[in-house]
This record gives sequence, C-alpha cells and structure tokens, in this order.
Amino acid sequence: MWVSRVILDGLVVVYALSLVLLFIDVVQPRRTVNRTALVLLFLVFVAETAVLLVRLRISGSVPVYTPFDVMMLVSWLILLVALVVNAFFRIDLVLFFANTVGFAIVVFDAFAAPNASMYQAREGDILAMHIASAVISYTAFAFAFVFAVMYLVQERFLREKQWNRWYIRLPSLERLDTYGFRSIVVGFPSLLISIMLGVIWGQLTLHRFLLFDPKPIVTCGLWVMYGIYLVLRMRHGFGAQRLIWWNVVCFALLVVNFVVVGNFSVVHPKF
Amino acid sequence: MHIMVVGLNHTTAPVEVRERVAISDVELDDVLAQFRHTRTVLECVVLSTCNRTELYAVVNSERAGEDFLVRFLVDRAGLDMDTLKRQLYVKTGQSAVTHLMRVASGLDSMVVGETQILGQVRSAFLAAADAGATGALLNQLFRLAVHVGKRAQSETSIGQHPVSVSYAAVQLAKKVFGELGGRTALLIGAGSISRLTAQHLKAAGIERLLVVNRTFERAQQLADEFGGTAVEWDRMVDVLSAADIVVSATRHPGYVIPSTLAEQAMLARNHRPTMYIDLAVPRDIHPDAGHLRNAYVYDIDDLEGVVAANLAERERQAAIVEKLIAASLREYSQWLCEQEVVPLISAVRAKGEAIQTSVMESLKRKLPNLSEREVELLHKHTMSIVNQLLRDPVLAMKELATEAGGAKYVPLFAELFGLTREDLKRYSKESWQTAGGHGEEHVSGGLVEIAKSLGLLPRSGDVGSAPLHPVLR
Repeated sequence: MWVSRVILDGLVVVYALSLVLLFIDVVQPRRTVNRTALVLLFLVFVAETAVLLVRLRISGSVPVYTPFDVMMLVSWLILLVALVVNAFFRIDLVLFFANTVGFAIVVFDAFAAPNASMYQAREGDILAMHIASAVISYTAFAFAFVFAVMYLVQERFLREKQWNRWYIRLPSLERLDTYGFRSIVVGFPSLLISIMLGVIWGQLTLHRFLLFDPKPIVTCGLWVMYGIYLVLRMRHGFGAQRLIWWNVVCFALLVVNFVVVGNFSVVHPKF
Repeated sequence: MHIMVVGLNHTTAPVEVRERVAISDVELDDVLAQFRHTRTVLECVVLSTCNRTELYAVVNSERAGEDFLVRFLVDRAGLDMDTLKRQLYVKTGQSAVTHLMRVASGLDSMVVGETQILGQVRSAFLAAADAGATGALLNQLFRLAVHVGKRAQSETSIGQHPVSVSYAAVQLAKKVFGELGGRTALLIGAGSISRLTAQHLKAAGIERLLVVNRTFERAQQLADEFGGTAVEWDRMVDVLSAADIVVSATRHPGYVIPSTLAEQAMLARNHRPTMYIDLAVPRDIHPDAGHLRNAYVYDIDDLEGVVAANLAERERQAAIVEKLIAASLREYSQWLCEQEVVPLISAVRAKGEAIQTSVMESLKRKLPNLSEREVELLHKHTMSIVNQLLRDPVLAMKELATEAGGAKYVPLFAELFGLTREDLKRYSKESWQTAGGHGEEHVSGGLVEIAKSLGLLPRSGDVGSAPLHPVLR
C-alpha cells in the first residue's frame, strides 16, 4: 500500500512541476522547457498507469470499483488523450488546459478519496461496463469543458484586444467550438449507455428500477442538458457563446453530481 | 578549395536586373555544363527564382572563382562590371554556408518564413546533382541546408506572423473563423488597401467576395480581378448581413457603418459571429458596434498592435532558426573534418589488413596441415587483433580532426603508423580533397617536430569551441 502512496505523492509533485513548466513555456517559450514538461508529463502517465496496475493487482479486478479508481482512470484518460492530441493534431495549449483539469482530479483523488467504499454486487461485467462508459463520458465532457474554457479565454483576448502569447498560441474560436462539440458528441452516447447499464444492473441486483435515487435522476437531467446543447449547436452552428457557457454549467453540474449527489445515493459509493 | 556564393536578390538588385540574370529551367543544363567544363569551378548549384539568382560553387581559388562567376553574371546582365558589382554579393566559407541555410529557412525571403523557397533550393540542388555538377561537398551542404529548412518549418512558426496591416486583418479573421473557406467577405471601398486585402483574403481561401464602392465601376473592376461580386452602394445594407468579415477602407468623412446599422445586420444574421475591420482614417465603423454580441470590431490601431506582436514573435522564431543554422554549420564543419581523415583511416586499415594477410600466408606455409576450419578460425582471430588494435586510434583520429578543425594531425598519425604521403594519396582518390586541397599546408617533418604542434591543440572534449574547418574559415 505504501508503494502506491509514494507513487501517488510523487506523481502529484511531478504533475505540478510539469504544469508550471508548461505555463512558463507559454509566457517565455523555450524548447528545453517544453521538452522537459513533456517528459515529466510522460512520467506522470507512467506513474498513473503504475498506480492503476497496483490497484488491479490488489483488488484482482479492473480498477473501477471505487471513486478513487474512477477518478484516477478519468485523469489517466485525460492525460492519454491530451498527449495523443498534442502529438498528432497539434492543438496548441490543449496540453496545458487539459492537464490543469487532470491535475485537479489527481490532487482531489490523492488527498480526499483514497479510502472510499467499494462496490460489491458486480453482476458479471455489467457494473464494470457501466462505470467504464461513465468514465469515457466524463473524460469527453471534461475535454468539452476544457475547449469551452479555451474558447472563453481566446474570446476575451480578441474582445479586449490583447495580442499576447496566449492569443497567438490559442486556436481559433471556430476550431475550439468544433472540438467542444465533437467531445460532447462522444460523451453523450457514452453517458446514455452508462445510464442504461446502470438501470439493468439495478434491475438485476435490486429487482427494481431505480426511479427515485438522486444520482440517476441528476444524471438523466445532465444527459438531457447535453442533448439540448447538441440540438442547439447543430441548429445554430458555430458562434453561439451562450452554448459555451451552457457547456461549462453542464460540466460543473457533472462534478457536483459525481462528488456531492453520489453521497445521497443508495446504490452509489460515498466519498 | 573554397565554398562561395555569388548572386543578387530582391534587396540588392531591382527587378530589371534580376530578370536579366535569371536562369530559366531550359537554360539550366547548358549553364551547369558550362561550369562543369571549367577548371575553376569544381562543383556548382544554380538557384534562380523570381527574387534571387545565386551561384553556389566549390572553387579552386577564391579570386579566380569570384572573377569567373561575377563575369558570368555580368555577361548575362549585359551591364558593365562596376554597375553589376554594386548589386552583387560574394560570400565565401562560413558566410556562404550560413547564407544558403538562411535562404533555405526562408529568413532571407521577401516574406520572411515563406516555405516555397525550400522546394526551390531542393529542386536547384537536384537539377545540379542530376547534371553531375555537384560533388561530395555541395551534396552534403545542400542536404544539411534542406534539413535545416524543414526543421525551421516544422519546429517554428516563423512564417505564420504577418507584419502588414492588411495581412494581419486576415490573420485576425482566422483567429475567429479558423479556415476562411465557406466564409463571405465584404469589402467596402475599392482603393489600394482594399485590393491588398482582397489579395490576402483570396489567398486565405475566402469563398465569396463582395465589393461595395461609391463608384460602381471601380467596385466591378476589383471584383472582376478577384472573382468577386460587385454590389451597388445603395444595396450595402442588404449585403451587410450576409458577410462574416467586413473590411472597410473608404475616404468617407463620417461613419459608413453606424452602430445601428451594425445592430440591424447582426439581428438579421441571427448574431452569428461577424468581424468588422476598419482600415480607414477617419474611421468607417462606429466603435460601439464592438459591444454587440458576437461582433468583433478592430480599427487600424488594433491591427498595428497585432503587427507589433507578430514582429516580436517573428524575431523570437528567427532567433531559434539562427540557432538551428549555427548547429548545422558546426555539423558541416565536423563532417568536413572527418572527411580529412578518411584517407588516413583507409590507409591505416589497409596496412593492418596487409600485415594480417602476410601473417596468415606465413602461418599457412609453416603449418601446412591446417584444416580449412582452422585456417578460417586463425583468420578470424588475427583480424580481430587488427581491428581491436586500430579501434581506439581510429576514434582518436576522428576526434582530433574535429577538435583541431582540419587535417593538422594527419601527418602525425601517418608518421606513427609509418605511412607515406603516397600511401595517403592512394586512398584519397575517392575523397573531395583530391580536387585541390583546402589550402592549409600540412605540418611536415619528423615526429618530434609534429608533436611540438600539439601545444596548439584546443582543450579536448570541448567540441563546441573547436575551430571551424579551414574550408569554412
């Protein structure tokens, strides 16, 4: 256990350091700083993989059955996607913004939730699949949030006519809006699958539909909210700034749902 | 032997001169053949574009080479020597090599960082290589220059920071709309600024260009030039809502687009993002339009700000490219130094192999009953002795050549291994040195005298401060 504790603390420190270096790289760009930050991020990725593997070894099953594991998996996926996007699609600054979210999750995970309770009734792989699809949707929505924040930052620079390095490096509003839309296109069906699998799991274990549990209710509400985003975005196209804010609100609600609402749920583990 | 470039470009010569000396693709083979058949020019590459004509050459003698190449350009230009010489530049050694790398990276171009020049440098080199006009020196040099050019393109954003106001306007539009394909731009005014903006918008891939002007004919003229549509002045209100990008550059004394009109247009287009760029003084677009949702309004001062930011960024990127060039120059120098010891290494190896062969012959004579397998084993092991014995000296030869920046220590090693000048010459046949030597006299004399020169050796292990190869000095 102490091994994962050491790895966890170490990765928080290295993660923080790489974020600082990425920030320096924007303000005063230097290739060596950029490369060092990338190497550190890769080390964080390796450390997170190691933590997940240790968890796999300890529990003997895929590490998805505690909120700690779920959050670690979300941050691991965010880091993986950010590294791949940075390498192949060259969306400037996505590494910095996405990893700010990833770092926040890791810090919260490392110091607030490691001893949380564990799911018991697994019903074959249904519970694992329910959680895995939820993890995918959370990651996609996290990226939609990241692109929304980048959009708002760039919009502010364009409106306030600040021609600084952030403005130079941030992608265009249209690109950021499209990336956010695509992220939600990925997250929306994933969340639906997760909800459906959750309902089936409830039926199999409790022999009833979980109609009045707070978490499924809020999650369904969230799913509808993201659905509204998709409908309006497809109708209006790029440039509806209220939709960007809507996206931010949706993600804030998603975080509240995961961290707070889950505590009032009968079937979801508590922090 | 010397590397030199003689040429002119858009900063040194007017287009009347550049067009006279320019060498077309049709003439290129003849020109290269002409150079190939002289004794002065050993290797040559001709780079001729609309902005420059440059002759890169490896020549035997600096003075003779310069005379020959300048004379060639004077003859083509049909001008007198003094007139043309004032518009020419002649660079040799390090300066010539750095110049080529700067050209390939786009640092020397009219639009700094443009990428077309890299393809032109590559084509010029391939044409010369196909014609047999290049040798080891220019082959390696152009390979490195193209590599630096590629790195400048991929590792920096040197060409992505426009420094003209109209181009900056297009860049600003791209920051909102991304790619401009599928977008509509409305130009108000048909003067020179509008023409320049139309040019940049078209190059950026704008789909639909509308032109409005008080004198309809001028609007029609500009629209025809760029495949756009001219619209009468009275109908501007109707087309304003169709435009994603509005660029205004008129001499109108008041606001051409008051904020109420902008508001109407925004309402009509359902508040889809619109960029208003005001290039006029006095301003054409009311600044209050910038308070409307999804309307981005920029005037000439804002664009000057963009240009200033771009300039700073470009300078920063240029500094990175200069570092890449310095590293490549060092790499080229190192390669040149290593080439100096190639004949020596070949001669030492040959001597080792000869000794091994004679030992094997002697063994076979003294031990006639050896089986084929035993002979094979003996051969393998005696060869291994030779290789192991020579491995460190060969490494030392390469290192010393690099650190000393030339072939200063070749005679020392030759003397140590008992090799004569003839031995070295025999293995120099394939080397570029046979073409003339780089002008530095080798130290000659006994081993003691040569060893004395070791005092001049720079600190070992500090390759970064090693002098450049004599060809580049």
